[in-house]
This record gives sequence, structure tokens and C-alpha cells, in this order.
Amino acid sequence: MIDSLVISNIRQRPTRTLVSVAGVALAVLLIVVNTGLVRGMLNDRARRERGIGAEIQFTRKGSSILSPSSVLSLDVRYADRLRQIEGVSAASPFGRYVQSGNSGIGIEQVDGIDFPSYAAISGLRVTDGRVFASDDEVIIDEFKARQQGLGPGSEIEVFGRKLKVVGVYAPESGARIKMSLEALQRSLSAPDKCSLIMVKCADPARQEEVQRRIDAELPGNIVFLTREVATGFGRSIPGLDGFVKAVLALSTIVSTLVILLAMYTTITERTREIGTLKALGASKRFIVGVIEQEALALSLIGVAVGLSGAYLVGWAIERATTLQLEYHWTWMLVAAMIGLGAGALGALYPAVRAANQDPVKALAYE
Amino acid sequence: MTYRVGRVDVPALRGVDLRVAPGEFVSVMGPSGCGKSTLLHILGGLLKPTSGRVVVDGEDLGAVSDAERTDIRRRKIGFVFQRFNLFPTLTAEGNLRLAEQIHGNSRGDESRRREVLRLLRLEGKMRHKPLELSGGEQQRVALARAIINRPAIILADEPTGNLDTENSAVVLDMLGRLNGEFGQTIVMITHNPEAAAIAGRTVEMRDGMIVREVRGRE
Repeated sequence: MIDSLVISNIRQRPTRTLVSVAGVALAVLLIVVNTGLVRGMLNDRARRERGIGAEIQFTRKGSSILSPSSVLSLDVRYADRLRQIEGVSAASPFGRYVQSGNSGIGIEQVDGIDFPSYAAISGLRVTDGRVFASDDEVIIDEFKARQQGLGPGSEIEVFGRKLKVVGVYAPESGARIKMSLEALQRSLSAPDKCSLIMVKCADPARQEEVQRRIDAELPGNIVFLTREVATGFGRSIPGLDGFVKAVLALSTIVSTLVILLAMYTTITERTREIGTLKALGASKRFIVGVIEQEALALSLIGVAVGLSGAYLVGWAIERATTLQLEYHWTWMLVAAMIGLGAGALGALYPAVRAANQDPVKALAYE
Repeated sequence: MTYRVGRVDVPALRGVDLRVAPGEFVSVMGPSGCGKSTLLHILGGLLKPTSGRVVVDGEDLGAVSDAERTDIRRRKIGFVFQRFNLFPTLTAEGNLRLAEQIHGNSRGDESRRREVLRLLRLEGKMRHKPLELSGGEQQRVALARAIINRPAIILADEPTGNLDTENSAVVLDMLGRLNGEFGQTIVMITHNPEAAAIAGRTVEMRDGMIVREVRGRE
């Protein structure tokens, strides 16, 4: 029965209901979309890094694939020295250029590769069109082609100028746009330089051993395992943890305040009803219970709307950009708990205030 | 009897000695500010007197805590207000069920509800919300809500104050029947001598005191 008082109040006060639901939904959406974006982008990058097929990556101190720099600072001749190290079966230098995303959201990377050696290590093959043959030609991966409706003959902007797409490749690995390493070097005025060298081991099971050997023979450089990249991305982005925590804190504050204000307004409007409840013999616990249940019901609707909205927003983001979102049930649960918890917390003060009202004054309230 | 507003003792009731026997119908009359409403609020446990005793069905409302007074109100008292005080978002039946829920009967008593609604001629109005009912019907729903849990006493605060003559007559008739046929104890405040006349006894108040009592329905 108490439920029907709760439900009828929710139905009869559509504006209040809408504002409360929107507040909670916004908070839930913020949490789910932001954590989904962080998770999706990190995992997407990690997946593509693993897709390069090399067990080890070699670069100079001060530069890192984890926070890519557009500066090519590593001499490509290191590739020859790496090939001579025991346990190394292949090495392929590549350069990485970072530009802002064409959609205006995020960043976009362009890899300059030595196609034969890169393809030998990664298994990359052109599935449509052909390999780049000049400085103003690029190939793109199937995801980008599908997502942005591009293909051989299309044009994309790199270095602020239009380059021609001549081929589409698979599988995904590294950056989604690839051009020849020489072309990248010429564009960045860095002849014979690269960002990183991919190292393929003769026996992948002994990659740590090879890593130690490279470190010993070419000291002062960075030698890391590709499989560590996934966790490395998260750690390497400064303030990422803080950003996620800030989103959680902001979301909690937004939901709490919205519910607090909505329920406070509601109990002020319903002062005489609260007086009547008291006249009927409703205990303080009963009155707090009614208001808390109402807030929780509003929050529950808000959580449902927020989660649905997150799916819609995620779909729209993935349609409009190359950003990828990965929603995980743990973050959805966290968002739901924050939505419900903030609703309960926000309603607590108005509920206690209502329960402590003087019944005679409440009954006389106009 | 005094009650306290802030730090000031308000002598709203002075030396009032009123005994209402079970099954009795008492009207309380008097000019505005004479203490009628205060008397009703104190009888109903909405206000705590600073001195004196208020005993309802053997329990002293002046000697218990706020929570205990609320509990006595829940178990023993039914209120009827001048402005009906129905919950506007609930149907007539919903208002009754809420009173049952507060009383501790969470599942409600369907046959009791039907009986009360039939008694108050509201069978066809169960699904109507207050704004879909006339003033008289709203007050009858309020009356039904007040008696649904079989209270020891009904306290009615100007129950016909917001009604036209015809609806007033219906509500007064209902109160009379509740008292006459079911032995319901009622204390009713009214300004209207004709309304007061349906009670078995009329108490007249002035300046916080009972100045006159008239027995019998005149």
C-alpha cells in the first residue's frame, strides 16, 4: 500500500519526477560512458598493439609508445643490430605520428611502416586495393574503412593535407592509418629515424630471455614486452585514475543534490499531507520510509534511464567517431549503486525534516 | 491546561475537565480562539499539555513520549478535518488502505473497507480521486478513513465547515448513525448550533474554559 502512495506521488508530479530522474540518469550516464570510453580506448589500443605480432618493442629512453610523440628519435639502424641478437628472428622499425582526430574528438595516430618487414611480423595484408607507393598514399584498416565509409580512392587528412587511401588492410594492428616510413620521415624532416622497433622472437616462449639479452647488448634504451602494453596504457596516462574518481565524485554530488532539492521541494509542498500522516498515527520511521522509498523509486528509474542512455550515447559516439566504448557490468553496477545511494542520501535530510515536523503546524500549513 | 509555543506557555485551556463516556457523542462549541481546536489537538495527542491529564481509553497522553503518543493516536484515534485532508494522489480506496497500513494492517481488510464504504454510501466512488469527488463525498471518505481501523474515539474538527447545507446534513447524518448504530465515540467541534444538536451532549467553551453543558439532542 505504501507503494501505491509512492507510485501515485511519482505519477502525479511529472515535472518533479522528470527532474529527479534526469539528475540521476545524467550521473549514471556520466559514469558509464566515461569509464566505458577509458576502458574501450585503452583496450582497443592494447589490442591493436598486441596485433603487431612482435613480442618485444624497442625504443629510446624519453620516448614511449604509451604516450606517443610525433618526434622520430630512434635511429633505424638499431633494427640491423637487433636482428643480430640471438633469439631475434625479425625487426621492423616504424614511426608514429599523432594528430587530433578528424571528427574533432580524441587523437588519431598514423604509423609509418616498412611494409615488407612489418607485414612479415604482423601478418598484415591488404584486403582491398594495394599498398602505398608514394608519399601521398596511405592504407587504412578495415574498422576505419567501415566506420567512416572510406576505401581505395577516398581521401583523408594527415599533416594538414589530403592523402589518398589506396588500400584497406587486416588485421588491426597499431595505428589505423599506415603510410611508408620513408614518407613519414620526409614529412617530419627526420631521415633515417623511427619511433620504435618491433622485435619478433624466434621462440615466443623465451621472450623475457631475449628482452634481457637486448637490454644487455644495447643498454640505455627501453625494451618492453608487448603483452605488458595493455596494463601499461592505463598507468602511463597521467591523471587517468584521478579523472575516473572525479567523474564518480561529481556524479555522486549531482545525483545527491538533485534528489535532495526535489524531495525538499516535495515535502514543503506536501507539508499538510505530512501533518495528516502524523494525525493518522504514522511514526517518524514510517514517514522517513515513505520519502526514502519515493526517492529510491525515482533513483531506480533514473538508473534505468541512465543505463539505457549510456548505450544510446555509446552507439552514437561509435557511429560518429573512431572511439570505442567498452561497458563493463562492474562499472554499471557502480553507477547503479551510486545512483541509488545518492538518491537515498539526498532524500535523508528532507525525510528526517518531514518526520520531525510539528503535526499541528503541518496541518495548518496553507 | 496549557501548551507551549516556543518558550511561551499559552493558556489555551484553563481548568477544562471533560469526560466523554464510551459511545458518547459530544459537540464542542464556542467562538473562535476559545480553545476548541487546542482541546481537540490535545485529545488527539497532536499537542502535549504542559500540565493536567488526558486519558484516552485508559492511556494518559500527557505522561508518554512523542513516539508513544503517536502510537496511541495510531491505535485509538480517528481524525476528521474541516478541509478533509485526503491524499490527493490516492483514490478513495487508496486513502483507506493507507490508514490501514499506518495502523499496521499492511494487507488491509477488504470486507471491512467494503462495509465502511457501504455505510457511508461510497461504494461507487472507491476508484475516484479526491478531486473527482464532491465536498460531501470527500468528507465521507475522510470519515471512512477515520473509522476504518475501529478507533476508540473520533475527533472531528468542523467536519461540515467546508460543506453546503445538503452535504453538511449528509455528513452529520453519517456521524449520527455511526454513533447511534455502532456506538462510535465522537467529539466534534463546530460553530454551527444545528450541527452541534445531533450530539448527545454539547459543551460550550469560552476563554479556554467550559462554561456550559447541554445534554440531550435538542
